Amino acid sequence: MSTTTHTGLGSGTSAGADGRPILELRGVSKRFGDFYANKDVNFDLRAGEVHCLCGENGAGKSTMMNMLYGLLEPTEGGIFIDGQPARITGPRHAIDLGIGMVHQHFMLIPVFTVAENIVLADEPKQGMMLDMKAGEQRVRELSDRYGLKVDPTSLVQDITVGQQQRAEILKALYRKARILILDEPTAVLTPQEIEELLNVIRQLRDEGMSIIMISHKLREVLSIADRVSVLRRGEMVGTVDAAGQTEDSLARMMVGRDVLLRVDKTEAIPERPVLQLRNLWVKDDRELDAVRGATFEVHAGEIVALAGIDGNGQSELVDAIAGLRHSEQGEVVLDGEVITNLTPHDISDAGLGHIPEDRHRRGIVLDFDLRENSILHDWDKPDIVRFGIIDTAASAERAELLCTMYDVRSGAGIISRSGALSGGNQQKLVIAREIQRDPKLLIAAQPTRGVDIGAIEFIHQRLVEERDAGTAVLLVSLEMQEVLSLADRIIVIFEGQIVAEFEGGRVDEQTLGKAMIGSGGPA
Amino acid sequence: MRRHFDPEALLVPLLAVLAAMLVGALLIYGIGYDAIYAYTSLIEGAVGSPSAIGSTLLRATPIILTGLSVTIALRAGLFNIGGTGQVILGMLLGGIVAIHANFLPGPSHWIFALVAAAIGGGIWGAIAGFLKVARGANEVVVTIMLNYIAIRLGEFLLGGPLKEAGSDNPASAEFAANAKLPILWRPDNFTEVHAGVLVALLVAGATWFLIARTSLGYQIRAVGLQPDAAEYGGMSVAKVTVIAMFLAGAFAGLGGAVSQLGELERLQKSEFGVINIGFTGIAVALLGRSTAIGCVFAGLLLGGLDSGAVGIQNDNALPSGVATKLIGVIQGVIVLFVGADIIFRRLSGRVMGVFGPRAAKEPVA
Amino acid sequence: MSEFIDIWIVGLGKATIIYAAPLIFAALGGLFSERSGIVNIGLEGMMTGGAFFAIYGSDIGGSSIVGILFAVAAGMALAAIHAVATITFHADQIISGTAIVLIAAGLINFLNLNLFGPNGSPASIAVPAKVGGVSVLVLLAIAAVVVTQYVVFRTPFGLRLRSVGEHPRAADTVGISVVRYRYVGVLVSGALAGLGGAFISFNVSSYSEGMVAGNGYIALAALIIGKWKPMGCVLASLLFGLSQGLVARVHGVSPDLISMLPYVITLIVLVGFVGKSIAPAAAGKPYDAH
Repeated sequence: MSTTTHTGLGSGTSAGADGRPILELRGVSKRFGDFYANKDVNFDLRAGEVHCLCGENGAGKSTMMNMLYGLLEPTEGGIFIDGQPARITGPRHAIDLGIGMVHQHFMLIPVFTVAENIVLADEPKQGMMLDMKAGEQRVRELSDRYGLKVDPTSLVQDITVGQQQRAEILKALYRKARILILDEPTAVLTPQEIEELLNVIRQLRDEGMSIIMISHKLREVLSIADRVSVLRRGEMVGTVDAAGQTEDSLARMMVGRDVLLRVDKTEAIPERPVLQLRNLWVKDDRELDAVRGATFEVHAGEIVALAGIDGNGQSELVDAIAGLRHSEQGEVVLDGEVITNLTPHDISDAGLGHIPEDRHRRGIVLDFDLRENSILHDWDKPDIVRFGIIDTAASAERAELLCTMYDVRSGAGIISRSGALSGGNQQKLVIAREIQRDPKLLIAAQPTRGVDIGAIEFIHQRLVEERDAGTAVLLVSLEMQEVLSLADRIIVIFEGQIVAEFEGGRVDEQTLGKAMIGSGGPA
Repeated sequence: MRRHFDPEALLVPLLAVLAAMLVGALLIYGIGYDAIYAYTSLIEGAVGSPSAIGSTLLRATPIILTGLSVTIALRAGLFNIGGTGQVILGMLLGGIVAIHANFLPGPSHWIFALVAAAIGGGIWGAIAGFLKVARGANEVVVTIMLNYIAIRLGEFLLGGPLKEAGSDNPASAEFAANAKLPILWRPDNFTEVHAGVLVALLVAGATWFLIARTSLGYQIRAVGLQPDAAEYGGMSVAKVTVIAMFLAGAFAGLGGAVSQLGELERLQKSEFGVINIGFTGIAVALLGRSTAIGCVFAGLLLGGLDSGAVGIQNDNALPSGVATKLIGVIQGVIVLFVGADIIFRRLSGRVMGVFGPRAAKEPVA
Repeated sequence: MSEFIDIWIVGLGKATIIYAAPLIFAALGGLFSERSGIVNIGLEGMMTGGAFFAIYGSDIGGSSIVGILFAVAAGMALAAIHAVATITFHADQIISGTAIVLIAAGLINFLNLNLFGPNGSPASIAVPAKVGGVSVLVLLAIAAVVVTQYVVFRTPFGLRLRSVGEHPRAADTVGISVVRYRYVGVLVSGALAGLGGAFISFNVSSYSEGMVAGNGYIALAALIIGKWKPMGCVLASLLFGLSQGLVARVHGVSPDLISMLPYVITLIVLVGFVGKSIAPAAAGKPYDAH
């Protein structure tokens, strides 16, 4: 008995699946306060199938998986395993029920070996002692059997992200999982690693494993899935057989309308170069080269998008420009002035406006009120501070101005605690502050992440206005839609190198996507 | 900058004090004494007479200053457990100026002695700040080691270089008359309330102004709350850390000097090993919720407890010496409950919902 | 020549061991706690509890075994307060540790006055036997090192304990109770710190106020310098023991000045070694399941 709503084309069973539901969600809702992260969700996983779960950021995919793994409890509805109702009380219970989960952020202990991570909580013993030899042996067997190559004796902190993911999958296999949940497993992988992973998934399925894979990369979904379910704003849109679907048809289900986010903008009139990078090299926190010889320019009056898959050096590049990270080599020039490795303070004064990618960590101080966050760069500027004393009237005026112009809504006005604002309003405050400083260069790093639809359009319009006012805008975005709709020029970063450049409006999603995974495109 | 009044800010410290007094009462009954009588004596000894009030003020003065010391460090995200060492450096430098700088005319002598004390304590504090930013050394362990080094340093100096010539006592020469703090009020023949009280209030006011109104205070708060955001805003986290620790040390140094120059005649070797106003400062700061004004009230309260212990002693309400130990326990329990204030939230949330639904304050998505 | 050997080899060696043993106990205690993710600056207070109750237990039980059991229980009782505050109620670990020190100092001396009176403990207290002037409790310290090494690094329990100190969420997702393991870590630290305190008071057959004298904090520094490893803790403790031993043997310099030495050495080694020394990743952070 299936409670699934079929909106798709076909409904035949796929190869390898025998059609028996091993896991079901019936009418499951999860509510936080007044907000439904999941609402009346029906879902079933058949034995031996790969079932992909798609949806935009914030659609409720992770909430749903966390309920399956016992990390959250449904507010309403029930979960059924092998047709039996199951109240999953915690991860241990989920493991005992045969559920294994590979989290998006790996649950591995960096200073433990691969084998130690895998056997943790189910350790092989010899008397009272830990028998790591046996553990390593067991890991090697599993590793050989499924082609999940990883050295059991290596420390997790010393191996690649791809190897870490294999260790995570081995963790589930070691615990004899029958159901494997993979939460956006390809987001952090290189193309070769993705291909290897998909092969492993196919092999696991062929051996009878039932797999739920969360992804919003539609090409991968179509290549691996037997069935696809789509969530939109917490609700299940439908479940369809993968066969017969196209990227377009799935995309329509995900966003609900036939849209490419359109932004009204005229042709850009680029002027003098404002930002010039020359052979810039930057290391990441682990002292590995994250940016490797980046060279490009951003001109006044244009929006240049830096496109790429997460973790290809974008964050390090932006931090280096802003002075928040040391540049090893090369030069950063801002409007003719060399700013390489100056302090964030001096670079900001030289004309940088920076909308940081992580507003909760950098962009605002959550415990400051709106007045205080409005002057985050101005604690030494004479219009706000005189003789070391903050002119509170001036800071209040500044905050009022920013809130009015950018429609920042808050419970108690400018004396509200910033952390109490919604994500969209926090972001509008940051953007207002950065634009109001009248920068020569505006870096907008993922400016619409975690922001609702209404605010997204507002933010996009502001960025275009800023461009039209003659500012050089560098947009860093992981969202292809955003890149395509906003950019006058697109440069693609892959593994720390600039690998392609396109004219905005002259490139389609496929070509850009290919470039982002490092395969082709006019350099 | 002014915020809405938060009843929680007052309720948690009050509940913590009540809980601690309750623990104290249990201990008193445990050794077979009458807690009601003991606490009556305690209150008498704290506020029951002009001299009791004077004694409370005297005891509150240094711990308000060490409380402000812990507060300013906490605001910068640092735990200053090094009050003892900073107090000692303040006593030593302030004392040296008070003894030797006789060329300073009139009240400028005691003022300069206090300035020297602040600088001495400040440097001792800044060392910990510097080691943290330059070497990543944990300020907690570093400041504790600096405490013991300061104690030994003080004992060494009073045993030799600072010892009064021709005397067998391990003590310094007398402070110059001009270096003694002016007396403001004599409630009785034994109690002299000196200008240190005003110094403490002045520093509290200045600390409030610094934190709430100045650019430096703004930077200290930003660094303490979110160092990454402070860095993004162009502040130097290292510089602010060292400055905050200097100020923390300076306040503690003043705390050491005011009692010294207000109540004593000379530096004595035996003092250094028994200094506890540094640790009490932690209780003051936490009880005062890391605010300057809160430190004043918390300092008065804990100063009152201290003074009340003498009342208990005088009334023989508890065996000899027991009252001060009891006050120590009460202070510790206060720190514990203020630190673990979620206890009250859970209890009250369950019992009467005083704080309202906590979860509703933060948006989820 | 033989005088030289007596003072500088035998005497100094003995002194080093006597000063180092309590540090070893307490540092191992800190290791259990911090490996589980709970910073424990309350060690000083737990040692004070152990120091007093070792004497009190010996006195009323008439046997040093009773004293040792009392010391362990006292350390664990104070540790339990720290555990409840930090693990269950998410109190700041430094603040709670400070509270433990304050409470222990007040409470123990309160009890000292009330149980022994103003003249302190009686003269005839049963203490563990001494061999060549060194308490046999030293053997217990050596055993504690070996056992800690094995339990923390060679048993499933140790693997789990370290996992909750490094990445509690990862431990949680494989079904390990973060709360339970942290409680165990903190309670064991209390027991060991209690033993450390017992060593100090047994060494002089009496308890006196302030006798722990910062040993708990130095043990914490030994833990950091020893990089959260048992043998590292031992070596760092021996270094401080040696410097304490030297204090009593250097003449011609003011004893006040020379007694600064252990603290100065601690500071220098701490500042010099830090950076190479990495704490358990989750130490100091409360864990809120889900």
